[in-house]
Amino acid sequence: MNILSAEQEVARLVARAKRDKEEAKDHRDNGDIAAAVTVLEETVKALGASPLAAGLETVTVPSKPMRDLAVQLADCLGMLGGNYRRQGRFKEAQAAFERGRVYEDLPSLEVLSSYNLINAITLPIESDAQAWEAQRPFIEKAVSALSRQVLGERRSDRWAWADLAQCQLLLGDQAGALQSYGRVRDLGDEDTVASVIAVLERLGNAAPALKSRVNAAITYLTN
Amino acid sequence: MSTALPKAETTVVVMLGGSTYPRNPAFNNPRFKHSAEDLRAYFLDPAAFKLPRQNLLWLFDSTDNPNDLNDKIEAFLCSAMHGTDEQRPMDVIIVFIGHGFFDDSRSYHLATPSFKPGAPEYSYRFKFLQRTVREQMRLARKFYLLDACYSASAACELMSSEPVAQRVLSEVEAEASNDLPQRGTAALCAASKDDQALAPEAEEYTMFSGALLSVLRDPPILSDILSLHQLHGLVDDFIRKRFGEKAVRPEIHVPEQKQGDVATIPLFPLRRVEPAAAFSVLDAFDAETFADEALLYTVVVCRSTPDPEQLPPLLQVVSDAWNNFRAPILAAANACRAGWRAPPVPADHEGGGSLLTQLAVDRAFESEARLRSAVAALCRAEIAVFDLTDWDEGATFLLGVRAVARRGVTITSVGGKFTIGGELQVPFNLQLLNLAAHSDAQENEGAGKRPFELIGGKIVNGFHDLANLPHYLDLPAYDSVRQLGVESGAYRPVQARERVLVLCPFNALYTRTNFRRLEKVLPSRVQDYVAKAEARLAEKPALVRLLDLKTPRLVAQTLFELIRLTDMCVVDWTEMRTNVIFEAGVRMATNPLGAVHVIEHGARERLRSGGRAGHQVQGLLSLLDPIGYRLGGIDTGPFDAMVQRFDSSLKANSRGEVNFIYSAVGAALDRRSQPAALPLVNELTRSANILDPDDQESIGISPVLYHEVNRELAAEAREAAADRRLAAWLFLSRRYSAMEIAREKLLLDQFELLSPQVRRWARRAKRADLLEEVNAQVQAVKDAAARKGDT
Repeated sequence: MNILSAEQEVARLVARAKRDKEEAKDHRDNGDIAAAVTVLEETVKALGASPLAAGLETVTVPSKPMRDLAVQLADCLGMLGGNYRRQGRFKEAQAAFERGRVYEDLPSLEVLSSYNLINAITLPIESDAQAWEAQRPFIEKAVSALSRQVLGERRSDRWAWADLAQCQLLLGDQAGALQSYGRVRDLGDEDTVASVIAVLERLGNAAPALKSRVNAAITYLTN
Repeated sequence: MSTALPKAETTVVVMLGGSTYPRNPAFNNPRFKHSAEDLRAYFLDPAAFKLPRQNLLWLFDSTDNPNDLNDKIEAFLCSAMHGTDEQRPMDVIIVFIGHGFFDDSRSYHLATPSFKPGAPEYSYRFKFLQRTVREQMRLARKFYLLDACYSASAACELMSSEPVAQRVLSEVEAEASNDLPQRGTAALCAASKDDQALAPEAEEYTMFSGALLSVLRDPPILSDILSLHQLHGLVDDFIRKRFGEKAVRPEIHVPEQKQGDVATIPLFPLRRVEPAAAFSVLDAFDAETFADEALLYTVVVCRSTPDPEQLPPLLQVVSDAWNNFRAPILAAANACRAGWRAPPVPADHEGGGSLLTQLAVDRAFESEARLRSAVAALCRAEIAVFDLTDWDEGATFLLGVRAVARRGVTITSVGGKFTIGGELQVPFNLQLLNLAAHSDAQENEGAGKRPFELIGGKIVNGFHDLANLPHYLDLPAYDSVRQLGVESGAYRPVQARERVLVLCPFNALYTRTNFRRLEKVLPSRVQDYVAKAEARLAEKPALVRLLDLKTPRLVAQTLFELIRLTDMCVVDWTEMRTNVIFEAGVRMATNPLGAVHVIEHGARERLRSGGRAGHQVQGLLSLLDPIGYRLGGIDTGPFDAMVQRFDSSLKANSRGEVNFIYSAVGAALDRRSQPAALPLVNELTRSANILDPDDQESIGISPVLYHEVNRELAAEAREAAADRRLAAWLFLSRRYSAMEIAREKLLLDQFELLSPQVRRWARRAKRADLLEEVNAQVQAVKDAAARKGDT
C-alpha cells in the first residue's frame, strides 16, 4: 500500500469508526447492549483487517495513518470490552481490553488513553476479589506511567486522572487517590463523575476489602 | 554508545570498490558501477538520505594504489573530525562494492581497480581500512555495507565462493573488540557464510545492492527511516521473493554491543517514489495550465533565474516539499475538498493530479494581459507560495491580490540569509504572517527545520486547518473585506465628498513633506469637483490615512474594510513602501473603481534612473501609471489630474466597466473556495465539533477554554453543539429526499453519523416524537438504499 492509499484508507476507516461508535453509544444508551456489541465487533474486524493494521502492535516507526488507526482500534476495543462487561462476558471483555492496551502501551503509536490498560487490570479484580494482590505489580506500573502522563500532555485529561485515582485507591494511597479524584471533578462534568462513581461501586461490590476506600472516594466525589 | 540519532549533517560516507580492473578485465562488471552510482545517488538525494555532498568520499573505480586510497580515506575522516562540534561526524558508513579475495595468510582484501592477479599488495587489505576508520573515528558509530565478491572471472555471476562474510565479520569483530565505549560497529554483508553472493547478468545491479536500492527507493512498509536491522530484514525479504531458490541471503553482524546494538538505530531514511510529473514546472501565465478544475495547483510566485535549466531557490524547495509530502498534502487537500463537496484530486491523472506552476514575478507586469494571467493563477491555485525575499515589490503586490481573492493555503517565505527566528524587518500590516525560510542557512538548521520540511508541513497543516476551522486565515484582509456588518448601511460606499483614503508611508519625513502637500491641495480640488458634479455646495472631504482614523477597532480590520469601501483611494508609490504595495494589491482586487496612483515627481525620476527599481517595478508603475506631483510650487495640475482619474473610473463604472484586476479576480475566482460554497451541514457539524467534538466521551481533554474554572461553560458548549447537530440533521432530512441521501455518499455518511447523535439527544431530552421521527427517517433511507440497489 502506498502512502496516498494509506491516507485514504485510514480516512475511510476513521470515518467508519466514528459513525459506528456513535451508533454503538446510541444502542448502549437505549439498553440494547447486544446491538452495540454487534456494531463494535464489526468495526474492530474492519479496522483490524486493514493492511495498515498488520504489525501495528510491534511497529517502531509508525506512519501517521498507522497512528490514527491505532487510536481508533484502541478506542473501539475499549468500548467493545465495556459492552462485553455489561453483558457479563468477562472473558471476551478481558481479551478486548488486553488487545486494546497493546496499542496504548506502545509509545510510538501516541494513543493518549489508558482505558484498556486500567480495565485490563481491574476487570480480574471485579470478577475475583482475590485477584487484587496478583494485580498489584501491574497497578504499580500503571501508576508510574499515569503519574508521568498527568504531568505531561494528559494533564488536563479527566480520564487520565480518573484512571490514576483508581489505581492509587487500589494500592491504598487514599490521599493520592482523593487528590486525583479532585482533578477529575475539576476537569470533568456530571457525566464524568457519574461514570467514575459507577466504576467505584462495581469495585466496591466486587471486592469488599476495598469497600471503605471506595465509599470515601464516592463521598469525596459527590461533595 | 551515543544515544543521539544519526543526522545527515553528522554522517560521513566513504564509497569504494571497482567495476573495471585494467590488469584483469575478466573481473569487469558494469553492475558494480550501477550499484555504486545509484547508492551514491541515494545518499545525496535531498528526498532520501540528504547527505551533504562534502560528507561523501567517492573512491569507486579509483585507480589509486592501496596506500594512496588509505591516505585519502584517512585525510577525509581526519578532516571531518576536526570540524565544529555541530559538524563532527557521529556516524560513518563505509560502502564497498566489488570483488574480494583472501591472500595466502587468509587476510581479506578488497579488489580495487589497482588489483593485480597473484599480487595481494595491489589490493586494499580490509584490515587496513578498518584500522584507519577505527583510529580516525573513535567516537563515531561505524557501519559497513559490503557487497563484496570473490572470483567471478569467467562467469560474472559468481561472487564469493569462499565464506567471505564469515571472514569479514570475524575481522570486523576482532578489530571492534578494541572499540571504546559510547560507540559500536555493525556490518551488513551480501552473503552469509554458507552462501555465494550473486550479480545476475540479467539484472542491472548486484543481487544485494539491487535489493538494497529497491527497499530504500520504494519501501514496502510505511516507515520513514530504517535501522540496519530493519534494512537487513527487508533486503532479505526482497531477495527471497525476487530470486526464490537462487536467493543469497544477506547477513548482519553487530560485533560490539557493550553500549547497545547500533544496528537498531534509525539510520537510512526512505525515499518515496513520486510521479515524474511532480518535477515538471508549468508556466502560470499560460491559461491552459489551469484548464482542468479537478487538479490541485500550486503556484510559486518568485523571480526567474538567468539560467533556465536551474530552478529558482523557492521553486526548488516547493518541488522538494511536494516530493516529500505528496501523500499527506493530497490527503489533506482531499479532506478540504470533501468539505466543499468537490471531487477529490484525481490521483490517477498523469502527474498524480497535482501540478506545480511558476509565476515569474519579474514577468508579471510586462503587460495588462500578463498581469491578468497572474491574477487568474492566484485565484485558481489552491496552494500559493510567495518568495518575499527583500520584500520583492511585485510579489508583495500580488500577495495583496491573493489575500482577498482566495481563502486557500498561502505560504510566504523569505530567502537570503533569513532563518526562522532570525531578525527581520516586517511591515506592520504583514507582521502576523507566519513566514517560512528558504535560505541556505535554513537548510543547515537540520532535520525537521529544512525549508522543504517547513513548507511541506505548512501546506499539509494549512489544508487541515482550512478544512476544519471556519475562519482559517494565513493572510490578513480576507474576512475584513467581506464581513462589513449585518445591515446594508455597513456596505454603503464612502463617497469622495466625505472622505478620501490615502495609502502611503507613515514616516515623519513623508508626513512633513508629501502628505502635507497632498493634504493642502487635494481636498479642495475634490471639493470643487464634487460641487460641480452635484451642482451644490460641498465641504472639503477628509483626507485620511490609517493613523487618522478615530476607532478603537483593530488596525487590520479597519484598514481593509475602508480599502474596499472608500470610493476615492489614493495610492502614493513614493518610497515604494512594502505596506503600501500590499495594500495597493488589496485595493485593486476589491474595489471596482481601482485607485488613483500617485508618486512624487523626484521619487519617480530616481526610480527611473537610479536602477533601484527593476524591470518589474517599472512594469508595475507603467501599468498603474501614477500621476507625478511636486512637493512645492503653484501647479495644481497633478491634483486636478488625480480628481480627473477618479472621475474617469466613476464614469467607466457607470458604464459597467471595472478596473482590470478586479475584473480578472471576478472572472477567475474559484467559487468552491468562497464562503457561500461551504455546505450548510458541513458548516453546522464543523461548528458543533469545535464546541464539543463527537469523541468527547473517549477523549478526556475538553476544548472549552476555562471549562475547569467555570463548569457551566462546558455544559453550554455541549448543548450548543447538540443544537447544531440537530439543526444539521433536520436540514439534511428535509432538504434532501431519502433517495437523494441514499444515493450520495457524502450525504449518507453525514446522515448516518448525525442520526444516532440526534437520537441520543432526543432520548436525553425525552423527546419521543423526535426519536420516532429519526427512526422513521433512518428506515426511509434504508428502504431507499435497498430500492437503489434493486435498480
